[in-house]
This record gives sequence, structure tokens and C-alpha cells, in this order.
Amino acid sequence: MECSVDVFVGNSTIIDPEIYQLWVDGNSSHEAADILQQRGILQQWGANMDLLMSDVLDHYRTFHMLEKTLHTPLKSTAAGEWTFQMEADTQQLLIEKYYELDDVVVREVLGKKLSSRHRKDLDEVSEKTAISLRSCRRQFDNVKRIHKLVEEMPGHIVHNIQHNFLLSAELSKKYAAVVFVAVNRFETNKRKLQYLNFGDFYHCAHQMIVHWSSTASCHATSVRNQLETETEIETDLDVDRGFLHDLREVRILLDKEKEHKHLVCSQLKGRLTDKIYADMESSFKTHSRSLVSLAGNLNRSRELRSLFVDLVERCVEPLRQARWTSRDLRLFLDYYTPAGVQLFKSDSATALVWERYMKVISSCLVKIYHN
Amino acid sequence: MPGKVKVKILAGRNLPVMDRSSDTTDAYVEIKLGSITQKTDVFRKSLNPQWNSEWFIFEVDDAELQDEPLQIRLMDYDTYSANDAIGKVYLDLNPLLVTPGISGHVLSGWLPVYDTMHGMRGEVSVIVKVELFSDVNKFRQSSCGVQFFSTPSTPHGFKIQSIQGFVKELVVNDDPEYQWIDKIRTPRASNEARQTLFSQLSGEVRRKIGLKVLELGGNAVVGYQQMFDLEGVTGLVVRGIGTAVTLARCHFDGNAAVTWFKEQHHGSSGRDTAAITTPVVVHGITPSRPSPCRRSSESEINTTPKGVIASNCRPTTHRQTSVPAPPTSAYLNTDVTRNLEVLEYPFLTMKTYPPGFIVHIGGTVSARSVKLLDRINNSEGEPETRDNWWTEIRMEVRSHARALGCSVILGYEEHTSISDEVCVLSASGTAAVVKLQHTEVEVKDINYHGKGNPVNAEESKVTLPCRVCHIPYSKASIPFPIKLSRCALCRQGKVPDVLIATIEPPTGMNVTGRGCLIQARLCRPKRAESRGDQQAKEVSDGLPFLEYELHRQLINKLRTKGMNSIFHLKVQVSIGERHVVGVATGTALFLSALPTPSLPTPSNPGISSKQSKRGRINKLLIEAHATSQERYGLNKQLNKVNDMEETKWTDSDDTDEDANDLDLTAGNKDSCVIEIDDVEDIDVIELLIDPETPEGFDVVTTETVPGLPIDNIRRHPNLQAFNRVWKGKIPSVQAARHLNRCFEMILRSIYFKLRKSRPCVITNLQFSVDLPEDDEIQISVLGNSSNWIAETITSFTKIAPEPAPCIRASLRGVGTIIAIFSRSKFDTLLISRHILCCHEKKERQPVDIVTLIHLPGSRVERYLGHLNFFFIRESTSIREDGGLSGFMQSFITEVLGIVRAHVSALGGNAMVSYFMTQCVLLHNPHKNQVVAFEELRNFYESPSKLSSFLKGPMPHQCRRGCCTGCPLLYR
Repeated sequence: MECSVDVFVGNSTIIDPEIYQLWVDGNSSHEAADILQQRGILQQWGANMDLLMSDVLDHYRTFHMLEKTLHTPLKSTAAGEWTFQMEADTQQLLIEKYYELDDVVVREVLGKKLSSRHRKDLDEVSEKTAISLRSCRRQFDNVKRIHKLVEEMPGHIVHNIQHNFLLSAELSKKYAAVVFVAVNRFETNKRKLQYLNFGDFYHCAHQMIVHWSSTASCHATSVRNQLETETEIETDLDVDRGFLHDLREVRILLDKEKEHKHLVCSQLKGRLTDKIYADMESSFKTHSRSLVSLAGNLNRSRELRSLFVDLVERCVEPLRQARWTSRDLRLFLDYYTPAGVQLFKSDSATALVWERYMKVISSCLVKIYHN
Repeated sequence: MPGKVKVKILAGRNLPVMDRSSDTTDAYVEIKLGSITQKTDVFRKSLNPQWNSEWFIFEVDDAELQDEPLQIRLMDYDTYSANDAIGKVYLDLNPLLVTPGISGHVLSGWLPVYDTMHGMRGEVSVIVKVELFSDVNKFRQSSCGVQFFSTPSTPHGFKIQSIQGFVKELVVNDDPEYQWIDKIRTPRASNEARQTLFSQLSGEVRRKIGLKVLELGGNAVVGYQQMFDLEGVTGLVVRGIGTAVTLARCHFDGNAAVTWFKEQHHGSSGRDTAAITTPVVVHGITPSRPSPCRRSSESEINTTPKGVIASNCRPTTHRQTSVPAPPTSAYLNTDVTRNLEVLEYPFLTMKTYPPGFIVHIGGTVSARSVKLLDRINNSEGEPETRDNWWTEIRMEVRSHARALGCSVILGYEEHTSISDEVCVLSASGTAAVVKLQHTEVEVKDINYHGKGNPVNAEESKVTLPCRVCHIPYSKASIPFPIKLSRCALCRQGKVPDVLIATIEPPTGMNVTGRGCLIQARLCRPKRAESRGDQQAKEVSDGLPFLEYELHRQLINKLRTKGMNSIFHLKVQVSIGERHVVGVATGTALFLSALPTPSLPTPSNPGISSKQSKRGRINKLLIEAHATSQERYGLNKQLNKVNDMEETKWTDSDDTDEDANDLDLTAGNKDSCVIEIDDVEDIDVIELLIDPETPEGFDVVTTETVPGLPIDNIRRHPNLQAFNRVWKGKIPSVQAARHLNRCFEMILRSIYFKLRKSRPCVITNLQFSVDLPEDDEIQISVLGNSSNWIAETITSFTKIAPEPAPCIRASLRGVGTIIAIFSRSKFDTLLISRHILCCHEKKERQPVDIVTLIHLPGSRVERYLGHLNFFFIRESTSIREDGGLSGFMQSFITEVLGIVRAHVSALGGNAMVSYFMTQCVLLHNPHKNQVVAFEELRNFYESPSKLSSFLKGPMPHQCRRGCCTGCPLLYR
């Protein structure tokens, strides 16, 4: 029926989670109505297409109005926004869904500059991921917004995101990973890295946030670091510079290579298949060197940025050629790290640094080592 | 006597960016009350300014306090150019004036800043205190302390000690929108001038009504209604009506409140004796004692067979001059309680009454009159013209009631519909016989009456709950043909076959099954080219036919549903350029006392040969009848009523005959009587059979669903009011059919919208129709809906089990009530409300808004006052706002938001009796070539006062086009 005005406004805003999801997914009102129709909503409630359309449009208009407030959830809710009255649960649902991320889309956005130029390229992303352009844009804008706000904020990043955008811990961690990668400008888009998915980066980023960041350093390492953190504002977005500096010390391991190899081999013997053991024994030097020299160079920011590329090029690819399984890799790393610690006996500080380094690297390597 | 208003401006937040270059705002605040303006300092470069001002003090007259809103305007300071307005807050100070005993009532909180061009723009935190020195001078102009309740019943927590009677007031003014200055000022200035004026007029009307109440010795107004008539060039009329009463607080604990509520709403059959414990004392005219005044009106009534008046019946002067002779019994009642019948207007505006108050219901009485607004603009105001119009119509309603043997009119309402220069005034109510049963007064009455009045003794025998349905007049003196039968319950009194009333079903009535929505809609074409007198004549000639058809449709629908009474009926007649639309909405009920209605049978005298078609139609009707019996649980008591069958009649034949009669008597050549030919016959039948309400929904216009146990309704966290606005085209061909479809569609869309909160009860549903443009119709719906708990409902076992997911959904929201209220089209939105304050204030509580008189499941801690709002919103970027619908939606959303903020600032957490009086949407796609779209909406929310003469420039010369007396006299 033709009409110019057709609205329904309740004192409490009525939110239909199903229609909201369709909106968040970037469907137009007509698409949403079609989808709902296919789901049999008309038969279920004995309605016709006109009613459905009017209902969907109503919801869409509400969402459109809500969108502004969703950009600043903290301000809108805590400050007592009068425009929309709804239950806390519903509010939480709205925010959480609006900030929902598709891993495939984030993977594309990851490591790119969050500029309007890239926003324009989102249609390619949309094509590639089969996620609608509108949804891609929303995710891009969300990442950008969160990035902008928490970038300079002191304290724990996950907590900051959770507090300012009222997101769940899980979702906040996703955003934290994206922001961490962006702030440290890790290279993630080299062709060699294409096989990695967002889950891999998410894992690695959080390993680094937990073990390598400045806030992690307080209870971790040297006295000098602690002095530094007193003067500086803490954030776990930056990798602890002092730690990277200290990492240079681990190069000593290069000199003690033979003992190191001996320690590892003696323990691994019998635990690895003969073929892999043989390879390990023969190329221990190469493997060990790549790990140790990587550590030694990390204090250069370019090296840090290309961490993932280096890991793939110098560790993952050779091992893969030698047909190591990830179990083999894990076993190797499990003994490789303590062996190193043993060698630093005299220098407990460096031993700690080594452990801190290897904890993250081992975990990352295992994660990005896809069979 | 002065009052002192103290205002402190604390801070602002989320203000818009006014200075593009720096992306900030240099905000300051102007505070204005009456003619005094004060300012804060400028807080530079912030969107969240912190003024923390000193107290601004205003010393004003208390009359001014009541009239003037406190205006808080946020401005952006600009060094080189004129300062820009950010937005305004209008604060109605009345809630701060009326709280008795508590001096220095405070309002404090964040209030949304509203701009007529941009909508909501941030918030401002204020504290307002009022210190009032009360004035006992009898010549005073103010009426502080009189409480206003738009609730059409006794406010929760109070009892009515005495009823002083009907109070009214009317103020006339120029509409700033149509003044010459409007041509040169900005749209914002013009809108703000209007908003301010509306606030002032509304305050003035309220103050004057308050004065009358004080004069009468009352202390409150209940059932207060305030209306704005936007006459256009001829100006603006603000009217207020209400019932002046003396209220006393009654002490009650939580349990008492619940009982009270049950009593008010749950007409359980078990309560019968409790309702009538005291001997019945009837003041005023009873049928056995015909009074002179009744006779005087009878002559007119006679010409109105079954409620339809012949079109050329004009009121005669003698009616106006006839002063009702007070019945003898009235003199006996010399105490504080005034005898209602002595009043000039024995009208009560409440819809719900204490148990036992109503003795008999006579039926619905209404009067309409068509007036011509003349365009003579002389600056001397003459509100007398308007007053006279209403006086005439009130007299007429009164005389109709007398003709029915009733002395009092309950649930009285007045409405207007304006199109160009033609204005239709309507007044309606329920004629009834009442008993003033209050406390000490009561005792005295009994003493007086016990000896001298044999009538009382006679009457007091009738202490049955079905008494309310019995006819208040004697059979011999009925001025029109009517079918009477013995009461099915007591077998003594006489009852009519159908009972129609505008009030809530009285407590204690025996109801079979449940009630449901019933609606008759009618659309008549009107020639657009006629102007002035001619147009008025055309409208007035057509009105009786419209009313007759509406009534017939209503009655036939009622019978198709197998029910025999309608309560809370509201008939609205709207006139537009090309159409006249009539909509009657009510709640159909089966009263056990009344006879079982028989099904209408189709009769088409013209084409008797089409037997097969008749058969089919008949079948359709029977099916519809059966469904409704099943659906509303009517068949439970059928056997009981079966023995009444001997008094069977054939209803539809009657109605058809009536149609013929009408033709003869009116002698009108216009084709306003439905010709029964093939196609239309089917149409008519189609119109009779409404699509069933979906399972899980109960829809009524009353406060609660009659017959549905109240215990099953619990408070729902989603309790809310909703507004639904629909505007669309109305085609010139088959307009009636199309109109019907529109309404069906709107109802269905509401069900669809609420599908997830089933099982759901929608109560207090109100429709309002406007015809703003040539071929456009705007329909607004207002209602409340509540969930109920499926398991506890025993009477509903017949309902097919719902799909499991739905049940779970409804259980989760155990018994919440969702109040939905929507209204669309014309501009005035009148929200009358009281705030209930429950419990301690938390940091930020949700604010419930309902149209009901009470928030089920909670108790009223305190009424904080009566709030009126009036909003105008204009936009030049409709397309960007999401079209007309988007504009409307954001507007209503913002309005509700502002209302909530004000409630919260006053310390309340709910608003009851919310009402949007008018909602006008003007849309100029081509106002000028630069502005693509312009839209203007106004909402007025206002309370009003009583009374009679107002100053105000606005002479109207009005010619009476026609006055149809008592177009409807439902029985």
C-alpha cells in the first residue's frame, strides 16, 4: 500500500536481533526482507510482504539513528543517552554485534595503513572474501576508530578497548591484536605470508603483548627496565625497547653452538624419527643461527617489523622442506630453549632474556607452522 | 504574590560543533522567565562546557509562574558575527508549584537541548528551585496548588471526597505562523515563537481552570483534557475541560494498592455484593419523575429514531435558555457534596468510577455541530463566539441525556476537526444515573432520603450487579423505538438489546468471555470545489448519514461477533478537502445481563433472486460468528442464555428498515444511504467481517481486557508506550474499501511488530485520523500492550498451543507490559501525564511511559505533576534524514527522549496517561527551489483548565452551517 509515512516508535526501542544481524552484515532493507521471507517468517506469523517490508524499514531507520551512538558507546550509555531506552542486555548485544569482526576481512585490513585510500580498495576485499562491501567498510571504520582512540592511551590495551567500547574480552582482544600489529607496523602482506590467517597473527600478537611489551617487563626483567618504566607511561602496545636491547647479548650462543647442539641432540635422540633427527643434527647450525641472529637484530626496528617474514623465510620454509611436522618442531623447541638457558648459567639476566624471547618465538613458530 | 525561582546552570555535554574552524563551541546560556533574561559566562572552546554558575534568581508573580515556561537557551558566542542559537529547553514550572506541603521542590538533572531546525543537540545540566509564598487573596489570579490529573479516574492513592463538577476554559489567540511578521523572520524564530506561545496559552488555560476549581471549593482536576484547535488564519484556540474534585490522600500499603487496582479493573463476578453495600440513593431525575427539562428536550429527541437525527433539525433557542429545574431531591442534599444535577453541566470527564457510583447506564449521547470559521480579522478578541459554540453543543448533549432519563454524563469528551474554514465540533459522553456514595455525606443522605423519598426505597431493592445495565427510563416514555427484554440475570429489570457507552466497563459487571476490539470505518466523498457556506452545508447535510452508517456498521459487526455491548467507544469524524471520514472504535463485550444477539441476516430487497449469493454470505457470517464465539469464550454461557430465545428478533431486518425510514423522513436526494446492489452487498458483508486478531493477541480500547483476569498480567521490563504513524494516499474510487484496508493493515502491522512478545495484550488502543491534503490520510494509533503468563490462564485453554520458541520468549519476559501508543498525522501532540515515583532513585533509571491510568504491577509513590510539551520540528534536508518516515521516526523518538529526561529530572520514573494530542506533518516538496524538502511538525502536549471567557484577539464571525443535534444516541 502506497504511503509516505509509516513509522512505529516505542518508548523502549524494540530491537529484533535477527534483523539487526542482517543490517550489520550489510544487507539492504530489501535484501533483508527477502532473506527473512526465505526463512519462512511470513508463514510463521501469517504476514505479507508489505508488513515485513514496513517492519524491516522501521528497524533499519532505528539502526541508522543508533549508528551514531554506537560510535561512542561509552559516552552514549554511561552518560545517560535519553534518545533510546533499552535494556542493558540489548545495548550490549547492539554494541557487540556492531563491532563484530570477520577474520577474513581483518586479515585483509591487517598491516595496511588505515587511510581513506585503503577504504576505497575495500571493494576488492569484499570481492575476495565474499563479505558485503558495507560490512567491510563498517569493520574497517571500526578498526580505524578504535585504533585512533587507544593508540596513545596508556595502560593495557585490551582493558582500554573493553572499557571505552564496552566490548567483550574476546572481541577486545581481536581489536588489540589488530592495533598492536598496526602500531608496530609489522609486515604481514608479503606474498610469503599470504598463507597465514588472522588467527595466526592474533596468537602471535597476544604472545608479544603478554611477554614482550613494556608492561610485561616490570615483573620480568632487568633493573634498568624498571627504572625506565617509572619515567615513561606504560603501555603494552610497544615492544619493550630495553628487552630488545638486551637481546643482543644472546649472540653468545653462536659461540657456544657445539655445546648447545650437543645438549639438544642428546635429549632429542630417540624422540624424533630418524630422518628428522638426522636433518636436525646436520642442519642444527643453520636453524639455531637463524633464531639467534634474529634475536640479536630485533632491536633494529626494521628487523622487528619484518619479524614474521624472517620467521617464515628462515625457519618455517627450511623446516618444511625437510618435512618436519609441527610436533617435531615443538619437540625441538621444547629442548632447544632450556638448553640455551643452561648455557647462560653464569649470566642469569641474559638467560631470562633468552627465555622471554624464546617463549614467544616458540609459540609463534608452532602457530604459523602449518602442515 | 511573588514566587522566587532559582536556577543554576551546571554544565553541558555533547554539544554540537558550532565553530567549524576549531571544531568546538563557545557556549553560554540565556535563562528567560517572562520578560527577564539572564546569562551565564561564555565557556570557551568546549563541547562539554562547565559553567557551574551562581544561582540566577527570578522574582515573579505567581500567575506568571503558572503561565510562563522557564526558557533555557544555549548560544554559541561569536566575536564578529551574531551569536548562533544551539537550542532550547522549555521547562514547565507547574510540577514545582503544586506539590502541597513540600516547599522548595527541586528539579535537577540533564535535559536534552532541542532545536526546531536540528532536533536534539546535546544536554544541559540544571537545578531549578521554586519558593512560593502562597496567596490567599480572593481576587488573586493564580491557582497554584490545584493539582491536575489527566488520568480519567481517581488518581491512585487518593479518594474523591466530593465532586464539584465540570470545569472548562477556552483561550483564543493569533497563531504566530500566520502573522505578518512571519514573512520576514527566520523559520527558527517563527517556530520558537509558536512553541513559546503554546506553552504560555496552555499554562494560562490551566491557571484559569485552577481558579474555577478553587472557586468551587475543589482542590484538583481529574480527567483533564486540553486541546489545541489550529484554525489557521483565524487563529488558535486552546480549550481545557476536566472535572473539579476534592481529593484526599488515602493511606494504603502495597496490598491495598493491588486490591484497589483489581477493584478498579477486574470486574469479577464475585464482587457484586461488595459493590452495593449501601442503600442506593439516586440524586436527580429518575424515570418515574419526569422533569420539565427532560420534556423540553424530548421534542427534539423524538425526531431521532434510533439515534439518528434528521439532517435539518436545528437547535432552537429555547433549549439554550431552558435552565434545568433541579429535581426536588437535590435540595435535600445540602452538604459539601454538590449535587451534580444542579450544575449547569452535569458532566464528568472520568472514564472509571468507584464501585457502586454508577447506578444505571443510559447510553451514549453525542452532539455535533458544523461551523464556519470566518476570516474577519479585527484585533478585538471575542472568545465568546467559541464559547457560545460549545455552550450550544453542551446543552444539546445534556438534553439528550435527559431524554434518556439520565441526569449525568460520564466520560465526557470534546473534539474538533478543521478543514479550511469548516470546523466540526463534537461532544460525546455516556448518559447515566449515578449515586454519590462518599463517606459522611453518604450517611447524611440516607437520613434525609430514608423517610421522605419512596423512590429510594424502591430503588434500593435492586442491589444486583446487573443493575447497571437496566434502563434508567420507563418503557412508556422512551422517545424512540427500542427493544427491551428482561434482564438475563435478575429477571426483573428491563435491559436493552445493545448497550453502548464511552466509559470503561463499570466494576462488578458480569461479563461472559472476553472483550475485543470493534471498529467501524466510513469514508464519504465531499466536493472539493465548494467553499464557505456551501461547504459547511454539504458537510452538515452529510453528517447524519455518516453517523447512521457508522452506527449500523458498528451494530452489525457487534452482532457478527456475537456480542451485545460496546464500551470505551470513541467516534471520530474528520473532514478533509475531498473526504469526510468517520471512525468509531470501541471494545465489544458480551454482558451476561443482556440478551444474546442474533446474527445479522443479509437481505437485499432489490435482488431477491440471488439466493445462492445470499446463502454464501450467510455462511460467511455464520463462520465469522462461530470463530468469534470460540475465540472470545462466548459459548460458555450460551446454554444459560438460551432460554431467553423467546425474545428473539431479527436484527438486520430492523436496520434495513431503519434505512428506509431514514430515506423517507429525510427526503434527501443525496445518495448517502447504501444502495444494496450485488457488488456493494458483498462489500458490506466484507466490511462486517474483520480478519481475526492473531492468536496470542488481545486487543481492546479499555484499560484492561474485560474478562481477562488481572492477576495474569505482571509488570514487564519492556513496559512502554509506542506511537504508530501512517500516512498515505486515499484513492477517489472505492475510498471506503481502501480506508478499511488501511486500518486492517495498520492493525496487522502492529501485531506483526509485536510478534515476539506474544502472548500480548494491547489495551487502550486509540485511533486518530486526519486528512491533511487532498487525497492523503494520516492515521495514528495509540495503545498499550502487555504480556501475560501463559500457564496461569485457565480460561484460555482453547487457544492452540503455540510453537515452543514463542512460549519460551514470553515466559522470559514474565508478565511485562508493553504499552504501545502511536498516533500519527496532525501536529499537536498532547501528552498528559503524571509521574509516578517509586523507590529510591538509582543513578539512571529507565522511565516508563504508558497511556494507561496506572502502571500495572507497581504502585504510585507520588504524583509529581502534570507535564505538557509542545514541539515543532522543521527540516530542509528530508532526504538526508531518511525521508519523511525517517524524519517522523527520529522526531517521535526525540520527543519521547525529552519527555523521559524531564520526568527523570523531576525525580520520577514513569509517566502515566501519556497522550499525544495532535501530530501535524506539513510537507512542502517545493517550498522554494533551493530547499528541496521542508517539513514541519508540531507536537503539543498540554494540560488544561476550565472555563469560559478568555481574552484574545481573534474575532471570528462564525456562521452556523448546521447543527446536527444528537446525531448519535446509542442505546
